[in-house]
Amino acid sequence: MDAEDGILECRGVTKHFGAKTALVNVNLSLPRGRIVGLLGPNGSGKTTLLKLINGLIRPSAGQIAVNGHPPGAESKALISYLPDKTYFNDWMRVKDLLAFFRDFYYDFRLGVAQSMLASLRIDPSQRLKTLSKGTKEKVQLVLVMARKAKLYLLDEPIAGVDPAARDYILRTILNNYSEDATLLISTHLIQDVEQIFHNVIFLRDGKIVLDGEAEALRAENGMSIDALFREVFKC
Amino acid sequence: MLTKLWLYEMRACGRILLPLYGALILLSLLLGFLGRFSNDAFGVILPILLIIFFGLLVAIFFVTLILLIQRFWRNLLKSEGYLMFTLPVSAYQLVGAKLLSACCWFILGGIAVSVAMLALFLQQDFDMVRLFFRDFYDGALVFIAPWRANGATVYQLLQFLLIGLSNMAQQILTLYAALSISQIPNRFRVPVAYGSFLALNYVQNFAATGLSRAIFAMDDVGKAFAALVSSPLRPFFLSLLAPYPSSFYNTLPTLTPADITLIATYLNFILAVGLITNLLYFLLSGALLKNKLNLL
Repeated sequence: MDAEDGILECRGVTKHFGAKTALVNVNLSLPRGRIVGLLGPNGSGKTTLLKLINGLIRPSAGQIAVNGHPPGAESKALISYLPDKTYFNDWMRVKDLLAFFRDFYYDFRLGVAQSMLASLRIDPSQRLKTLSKGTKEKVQLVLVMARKAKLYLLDEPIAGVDPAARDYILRTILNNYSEDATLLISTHLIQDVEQIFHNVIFLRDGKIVLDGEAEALRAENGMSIDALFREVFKC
Repeated sequence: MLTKLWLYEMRACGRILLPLYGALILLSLLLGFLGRFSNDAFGVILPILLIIFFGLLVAIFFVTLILLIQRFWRNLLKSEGYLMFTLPVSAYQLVGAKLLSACCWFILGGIAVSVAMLALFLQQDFDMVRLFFRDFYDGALVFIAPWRANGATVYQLLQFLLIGLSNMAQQILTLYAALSISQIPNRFRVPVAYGSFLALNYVQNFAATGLSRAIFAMDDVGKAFAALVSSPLRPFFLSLLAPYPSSFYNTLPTLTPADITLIATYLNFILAVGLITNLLYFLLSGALLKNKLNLL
């Protein structure tokens, strides 16, 4: 796959978990410098797709390339990933984790992370295990957005935090990603974030059912992405 | 990157093990100090401290063992793996850092226990310690002398140590390989881990037995090894177990340059097989975590 194509290419990606099929023949090409919403109900395969791109699980079939690299050390240096679960150990302090990120990611901006933590009133000397669930998610998002990555993969970045923090997080995301970077945000809370999407991808039962520019979709259907989502995924 | 990973691994284990080492050495100093006084004053407290001391010895061993498993299982294969496997490092580097750290902690544990024992004995009875060291030193000289006299190099003497280290790494790597296999299925990971560990050990023993049988079946090699086993070296090897250095005097002079070469070849062979096995296990673990990673 040509690195010029786009930042992310998925060709025929299929993933089975035993008898269950999580993704079916997913073809996806993400251009650079876009904010893309990965939208779908629970269990539609959003998390599976993000884990596959990160190499945390392997596809049953198909290929994935990030900037031309298959999932591996090279692709991981380009991706900043916010998983849907917290990966903290119980013994580090927030500042230890900042040092850890600075050590391993050359694109990590310590100063940016510190000022974001200060705005969120998170004390860097706190132990990770004493943080509340919401605070842990905020710390993780700070770590992820303080990197100057080429591809950000955010799995439900706002699901676990209060509405006030939600606004801050969205502003943080918008202010901290560089113009040539691509953001892939998975969420089912569309209303809160749809204004930032350039593109949206609808995922249902492991298949892409819609892939297009947000503005065009709104004009074409005469409704917001949120309303369109409710119609496409009507139960 | 490997160095950074290794340093983080050392820190993660050190925060648990170093306090244990510290407590053991402090307690040994205290025990040694109290032991110099008459038993009346500390009649009750001394046995209790001794029990704690030996409890700590056992604890250090088991905590090191548990950490060995837990640092791989929890840090790589559970939720912390989401961080570790998104670092821009290879799976081989992750396994390598864990292996290096585990080896270091087993060695450091051995040193800490030795220091604690010394600290305990040094205060207890100076003469006894002096005699112990003198005997140890004399014994070591006696042990080494005929080897040196018969042309053994320092490397040949180091072979024993290298084989010991290689065997230690092999135990650790067998465990890592079993854990790497256990993460492939979506369910029953714990039984799969146990099963793989037992199976790998079985295969390993089977191969080792088969290999030695094959070697003995070869004519010249068989004769050479048979000569080694039935030679005057047999009591020499037995004497390694003898508690008193004086027993070396009786057996060692029979060692010949030919024997030394034979032993060196034999030990080199054992070492080579051990290192190849280690490499295979390392590559297996790394390849499974690279190509078959399945973080739930």
